[in-house]
Amino acid sequence: MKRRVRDGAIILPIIAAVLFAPPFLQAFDFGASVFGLPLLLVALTFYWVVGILLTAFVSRKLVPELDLDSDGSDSADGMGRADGMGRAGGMGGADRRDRG
Amino acid sequence: MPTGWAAPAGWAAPTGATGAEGMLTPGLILAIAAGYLGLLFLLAFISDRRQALAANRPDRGASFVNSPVIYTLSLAVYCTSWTFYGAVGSAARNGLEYLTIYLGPTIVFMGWWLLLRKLVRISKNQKITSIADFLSSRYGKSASLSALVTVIAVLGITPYISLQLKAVASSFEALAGDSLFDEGGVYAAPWATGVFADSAFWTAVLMGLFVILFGTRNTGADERHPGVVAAIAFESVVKLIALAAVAFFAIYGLNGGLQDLFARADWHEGVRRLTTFEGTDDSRWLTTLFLSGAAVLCLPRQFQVAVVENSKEKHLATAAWLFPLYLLLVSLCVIPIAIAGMTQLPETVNPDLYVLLLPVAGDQNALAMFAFIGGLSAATSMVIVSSIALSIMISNHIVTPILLRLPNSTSDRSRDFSETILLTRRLSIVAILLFGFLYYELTATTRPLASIGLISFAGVAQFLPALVLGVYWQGATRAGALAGLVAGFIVWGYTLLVPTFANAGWAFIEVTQQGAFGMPFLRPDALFGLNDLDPLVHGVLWSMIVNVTCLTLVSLVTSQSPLERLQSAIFVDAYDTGSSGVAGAIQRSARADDLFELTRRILGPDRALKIFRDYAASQGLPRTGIGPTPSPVLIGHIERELASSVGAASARSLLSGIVTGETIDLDTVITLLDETQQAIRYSRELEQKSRELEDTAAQLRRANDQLTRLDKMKDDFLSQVSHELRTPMTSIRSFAEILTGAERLDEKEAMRFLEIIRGESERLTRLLDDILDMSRMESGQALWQVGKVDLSVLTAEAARAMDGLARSRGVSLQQNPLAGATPEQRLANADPDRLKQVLVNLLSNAIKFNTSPKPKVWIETGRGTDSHVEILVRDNGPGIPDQDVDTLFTKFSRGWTESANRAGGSGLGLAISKQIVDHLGGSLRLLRPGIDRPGIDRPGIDRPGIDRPATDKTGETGETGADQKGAIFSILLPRAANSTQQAAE
Repeated sequence: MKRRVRDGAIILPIIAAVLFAPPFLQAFDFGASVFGLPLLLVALTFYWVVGILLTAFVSRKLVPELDLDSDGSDSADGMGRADGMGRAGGMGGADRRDRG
Repeated sequence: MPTGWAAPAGWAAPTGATGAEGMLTPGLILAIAAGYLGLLFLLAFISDRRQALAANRPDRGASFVNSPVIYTLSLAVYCTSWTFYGAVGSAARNGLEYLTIYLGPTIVFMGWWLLLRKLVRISKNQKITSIADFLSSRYGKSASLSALVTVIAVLGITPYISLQLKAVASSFEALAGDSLFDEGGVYAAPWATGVFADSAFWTAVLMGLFVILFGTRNTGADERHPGVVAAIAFESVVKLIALAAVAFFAIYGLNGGLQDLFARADWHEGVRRLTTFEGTDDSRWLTTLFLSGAAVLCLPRQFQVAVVENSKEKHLATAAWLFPLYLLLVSLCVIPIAIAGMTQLPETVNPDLYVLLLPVAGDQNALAMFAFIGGLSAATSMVIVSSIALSIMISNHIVTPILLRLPNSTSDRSRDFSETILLTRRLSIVAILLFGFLYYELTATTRPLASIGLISFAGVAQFLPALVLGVYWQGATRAGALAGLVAGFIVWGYTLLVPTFANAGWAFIEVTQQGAFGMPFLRPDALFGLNDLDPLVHGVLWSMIVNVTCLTLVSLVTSQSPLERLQSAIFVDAYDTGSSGVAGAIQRSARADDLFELTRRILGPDRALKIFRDYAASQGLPRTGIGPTPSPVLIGHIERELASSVGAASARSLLSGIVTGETIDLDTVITLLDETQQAIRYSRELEQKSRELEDTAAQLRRANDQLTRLDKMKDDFLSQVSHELRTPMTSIRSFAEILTGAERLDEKEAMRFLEIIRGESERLTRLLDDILDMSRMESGQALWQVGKVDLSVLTAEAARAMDGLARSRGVSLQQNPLAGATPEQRLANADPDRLKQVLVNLLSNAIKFNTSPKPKVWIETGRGTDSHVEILVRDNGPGIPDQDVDTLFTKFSRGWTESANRAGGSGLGLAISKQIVDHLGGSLRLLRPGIDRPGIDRPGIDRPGIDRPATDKTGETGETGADQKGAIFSILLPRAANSTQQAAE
């Protein structure tokens, strides 16, 4: 599962780059309209929104891995970084993730 | 795309909107703008205070500045006034192409896992302060590289800053309208003259003040500025809401909804461009997509907010979707504003000011004021962050290295260097803003600002190859990076900047028209004949090709210094090597006093003390107990702390002044370089696995060979058994047939036949008994009764049992009754019945196959060994042919001639005997007289030649070189110890 999410995180921007390139967008460019709005703009917005949703989904799944990573490097530092403006400054309640 | 803030007179207030002007006097606008900026100051001040409080009391936590949403909003500094005003103008002029400016960053942030995460990780570990510091640090902490990057950045960004100032000034003048001018069109602000009348000037002054107050409060500590970040985030909200409000007004205030907007605008050529791809240049689309993606990483201000100011990696995970969402909203707001502006404002209005003038046209003064504040937000946030980023770069990479080279700079004078750095930063900020303002003043009436945004993007995009290859390719060298940057920058200047200057009529006009040195194929807009491309596409294409080619080729032909190799390994393997994973790589020593003095001078006494205390605590040392010679780990840590204040290159040169014996542990570097340690471990595991597999395979092969051999032996055994069984069976059957078939058989004859049948049956029985016996022993089912055995008794019994046979064959059986041995020495540990079976078998063989004219057989004791007693069974018979010696003890082998033994036993006798002796812990061997046992020729064995039988084996025995005929079997048996332990057997 983890592996698939990571692969997804890599493939997602590539697909986005391809879809946002002219040839793919031109497929919608024949003057049609949806609910009185130009199809091209609707399609573009749709791609964009779907991309944002997928990225949000994938990124949420990846956050735990990120924590493991950074915890590892922090402890490896062995020095702590309590220097006033560093990460000693508290963390927002929204960030605080229950571990375990 | 925006064509700039051209022609100040061109944006004259729309006709029909003049009635509203009375409401918005310049004084009111200025007052509101000043109030808004005051609010920013307050917000930054509060945020800084809260952050400081939270840092001192971690249990209170919850500083809102540290939230992912704030982080994302600070990223929105990407949307400058170039977006706020210019995107609409671009959409009106060029159609959908403006979208690429927002799609590029969207793609980059969707791919945060690939690149941004790595940049953030590295920057945290290495305490990176700017993109120049990042590149310099990657390429061996090169001071020249960071200086070069700084120069490029300053040259590329300053026009961009002036663009913001110009936007503020233009929007102010647009809003205040004609009231600023008297009848003659002369500036007529009653309260100021000259430069002081220019709103851009005051904007620059206020921004400079803001940045100096909140952006240079201290150095180091990862270069984070919570107050600034909070203000930027706030401004991002303001500008988005302002833009959305204008868009809402365009849709519902000026039109009857979205569909109505599109329906009513259908006739306009510009609107058609905005709803289709008509007239959109594909190559331009891709180029601007690439440029914007590169810019969101490489622009100093974006690197500052996205990487340097990042406090938690996981904020990226939120920004990955939230920032694209922000960009989407901005992009969506642009379209209705552009359409309404194109269709409902006069043709003469500059599209760049639609955002401001639509509300004015609709008599919405409050909304117009709000839009103005939005534009002000966009401009000021860009100016603030850019000047912070650039001032850090200038002070760290240009001024500090120069100061360090000055005499006395490294002397022990107790001057606090941190104050110097702060002063440098403040002066840099003033210089940058001054430079920007001068640029604005100089170019106020000309057009070059038109495409300065994208040209700026293309300039900083030159950092991209060195940045991306730097974190993914260990082979990229400092020389390569320098070559790529310089070459790319030159081509960028020649293909993009020169034509701009030429168009403005400033310079290079001849070059642009004729080509450099009068050579047409060197024309800056058609390099090497590539003349049918859009100038932007042309310039970006050439500069990137040249940049990447130089970077890769020069990297391939140059080699890295040890420090470069170390740094490249740290950067490329950022996920595997923490900041201290390589702490031991650089071996050096320094005096603790020097080290502390240096730290105190650069970072100030408080932080220096804190660093040393924290280090002592982390090492479990007393508070003051660093010791006179600190470890390389502490030196490495201090270098990073210094780097967080003055940049990696300067920190390194500072330290090199006081450390001695700096060597880079090549082993560590190579370990890091060639493969990561994890990869090595992994491959070692693999190697071990494959070795294990090989071993297992070899074992299997051996086992298989053995099985095959055993299988073959079993087949041989079966076929031999069948053969052995068939022979007696055949004679039994044939005699039985004779007996039944021949009626006239005399009784004597019949009796003889019956006798033969009986004999053969006995042989069969014996054979079967032996086979059973053997299989019992082989399967371990035989019963053994092992105990002390007196060999003299046993041999006597065996000799007696064979006495009859010997007599009948005329063999002289001589028993040599274990002469000279004490009774104790004659005791063996054995199963008496089994051992007797062995002796009887050997004796009977010796008797039966002895063809000597004067046959003799001996049974006697041998010398034995310390642990074993020995029994010898000798004869003076024909001996064992050499070719049979090896197989003597195998089943169905007959050491004696095939022909001679037809009357013999089963052929299993010796095999069984050997198994018995082996099982008893002894050994049964055939000795070659004179070879295996040189001294055994004594009494009893007849002289050769005398007893030699006249058999066909003579020749062969001659060949062996043994001058003794006959065979000697040696039985070694374990001596019986005196104790009782044999009972256990």
